[in-house]
Amino acid sequence: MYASARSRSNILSSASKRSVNQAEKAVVKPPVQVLDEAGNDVTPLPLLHSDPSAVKKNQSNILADSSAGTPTDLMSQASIYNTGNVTASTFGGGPFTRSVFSASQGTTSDSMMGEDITEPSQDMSSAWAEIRHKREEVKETLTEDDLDKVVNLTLTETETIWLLDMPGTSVSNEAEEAAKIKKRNEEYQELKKNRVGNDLYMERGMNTFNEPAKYKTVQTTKITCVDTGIMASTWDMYDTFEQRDQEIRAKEKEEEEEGTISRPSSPKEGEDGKAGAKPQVGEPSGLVREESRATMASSMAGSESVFASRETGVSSVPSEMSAVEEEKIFKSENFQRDLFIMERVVNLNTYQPKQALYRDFPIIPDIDREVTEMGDKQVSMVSDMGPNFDRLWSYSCKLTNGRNISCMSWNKLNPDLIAVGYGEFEFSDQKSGLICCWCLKNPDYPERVFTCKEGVTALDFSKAYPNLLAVGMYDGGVAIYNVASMKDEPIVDNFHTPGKHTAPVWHIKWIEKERGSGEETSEVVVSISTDGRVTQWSIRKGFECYDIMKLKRTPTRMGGKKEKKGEAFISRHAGGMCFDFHTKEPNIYVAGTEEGHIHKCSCSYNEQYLETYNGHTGPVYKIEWSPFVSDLFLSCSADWSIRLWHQERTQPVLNFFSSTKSVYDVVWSPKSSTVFACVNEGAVEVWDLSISTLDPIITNNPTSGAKKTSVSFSKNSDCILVGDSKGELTVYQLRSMPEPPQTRRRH
Amino acid sequence: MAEVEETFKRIQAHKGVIGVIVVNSEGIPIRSTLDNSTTVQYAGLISQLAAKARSTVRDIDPGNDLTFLRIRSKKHEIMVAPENEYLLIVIQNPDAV
Repeated sequence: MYASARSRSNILSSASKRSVNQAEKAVVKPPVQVLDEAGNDVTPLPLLHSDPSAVKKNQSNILADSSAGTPTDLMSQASIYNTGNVTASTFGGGPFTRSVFSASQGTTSDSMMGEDITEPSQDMSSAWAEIRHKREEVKETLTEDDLDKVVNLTLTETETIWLLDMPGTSVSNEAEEAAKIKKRNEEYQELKKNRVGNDLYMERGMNTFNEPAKYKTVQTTKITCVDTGIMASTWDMYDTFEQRDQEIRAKEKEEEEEGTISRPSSPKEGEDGKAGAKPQVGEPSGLVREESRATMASSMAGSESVFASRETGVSSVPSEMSAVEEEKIFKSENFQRDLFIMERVVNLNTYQPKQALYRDFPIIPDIDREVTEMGDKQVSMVSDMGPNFDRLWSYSCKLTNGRNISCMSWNKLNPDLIAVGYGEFEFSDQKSGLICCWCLKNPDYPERVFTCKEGVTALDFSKAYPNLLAVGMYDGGVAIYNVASMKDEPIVDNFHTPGKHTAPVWHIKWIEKERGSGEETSEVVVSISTDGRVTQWSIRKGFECYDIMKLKRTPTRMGGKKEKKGEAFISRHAGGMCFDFHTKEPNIYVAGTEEGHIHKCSCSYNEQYLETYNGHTGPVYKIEWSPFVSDLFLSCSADWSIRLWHQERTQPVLNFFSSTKSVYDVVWSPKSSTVFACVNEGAVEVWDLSISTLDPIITNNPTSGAKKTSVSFSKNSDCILVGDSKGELTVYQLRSMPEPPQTRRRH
Repeated sequence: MAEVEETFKRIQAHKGVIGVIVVNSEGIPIRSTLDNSTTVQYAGLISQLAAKARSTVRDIDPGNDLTFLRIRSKKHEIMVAPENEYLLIVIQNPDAV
């Protein structure tokens, strides 16, 4: 370090000598002149006119204070000095040193020095200029005497220059690595010892190359930055994951299927194609949805303008695209379902109070409706009247107008669903028949409509298969419909079988029969008709029929009078009008005939009656066993009467005469053992035997003018449904009915 | 298709129903029984509301989804059946005689 300083000072002095000589000259003209062959002065003019004051400062650092330079500077200077001394040309050395100085002013890069070496003149002049000034300060006028003078050289210690600083790290004795480190330290100590006289180690100096740094510029197109923000809602993320899961599942399924199936590959492929297509289809729709969401969200603010602009477009709405879209939407299943629900909802709005009454819900008055005082009075009046009806609504629509309701049957599984058959009773006005399935939730239009060629006269829903509906028709046909499907065809019918009835089927029922001993019960259809046959139809193979009974005419026995002898009968059979199977014993049933006789029969005997009940003088239209008391049954007939019979007695227990019209229908109430309802041509009557056996407790004469033809109690509500000859099925709610009697265990 | 049309007509003809509108996923009405300006107004506003309602339901539980929307106002009730591809809107006045 000191040596280099010394050598530098030597050079300094030599340099200063030279500069002294030439400085005077340099003031006037440029120190270097470049002359070409022609002798023209093509000296390059200096480009850089650096600020001398700034330069001065830098220079002083280097010349006066040897410790200011960086180590590399000094090293490089030293090396270049050496080379400079070796080459030692008068001017050549000069420029070198100058250039070194100039280089060390601002930069320490060797490339600069290289440049300087190639174009010495430029920098040189500037360097000259700089150094010139410097020299002036330090310059001493040296004379010959000075050579003898004693020059005091002051040597000062420079600041310590750190070449390498590697501070030792200490580790606490208790640290985990302490043992390892100690071991390493010991190894190192040994290594040092071994090193001293060892042949393996040799001291050698190395010179590392200082690679010149290179600057490189690259030009690119401007990198544009775009800021995008997106908000993902919780369900957006959920949807994305769901879709991915679905795809994974679909792929898994595919792999499974491929493994198991070998031959029918093409249909499977079709499926796979579909499965593959589905996530794709799902994707765009999902995307579209998200897009639309985004557009919804983003256009929330500007929606008014957007939709205002759409206004002009709306007038041309029936354009091609929207027409196609419309069709697609209309055909989609979802739309059908939505329409369906919407219809229900709309109906609900209209009928809500009535439907709530049906279900015995408390009615919440509409707060916006204006309440009139008269309404209140009416309500109170009604409650004082005793048991009565309240008309809720009626099932009717355009299709059913004008048709006579002949029969009704509640669905066994869904108590809100009722099937109604429309067919004329009279021979004279026969028209095509109709079966409608009505639901509580939509009083305006039936859920299912089935058309039949002939009038429908009997209906029944099956218990085992609640979607099967057995239908009996005016021409003797029996058909079974599946109400779950929308098709207008029966699944089986007997129109062409030889066992078909030859007269209208007046009653039809599904009966559970035991097949053999201990086997499971299966259901069969039993029908009765005016041709005198009670026939059982089974749908095991085709539509088989089997006559359980052929009703034979019995001579009427007038009490006390002599038996009339041998009347010529037109036919041996009596026309059957109705029947009912016993609730407890499935083999026993009672059948009512056109003559008025009621016969108790058994399935085991198809020729003989077990018992005959005489009482009615006209055709027995309906017969029904009591659901509570198993030995009683009711019958109603065209002779204006209703009779209550006991199984054991051939004479009626009670007779009910309340009107002068034939009674078309009678039903027991499912809730109370003493209540039954009947309907004659003009009125609906509800009887309660615990209150009175002479008069009905409720008589309702609707003034619509239509004949009432059938009646049924609702299973899940206190309502009664009455069908009439104009096709209207009215729902009445029974109010203030007396309590049903408590069941008393007799048996 | 015919059944759909029939059901559509029945809803329209039901007591108290003021109008029925079918809107596609972009908010453009494709079928309506009301006049143009009313239709467009309903279509735009109800689409937004249905989207908001659906977003609310799904934010609370992403597994859930909106199936039906009813808005009861003083004068009438607006019933909306929202789907991905379309929107079915029915306006009814239940007190109408």
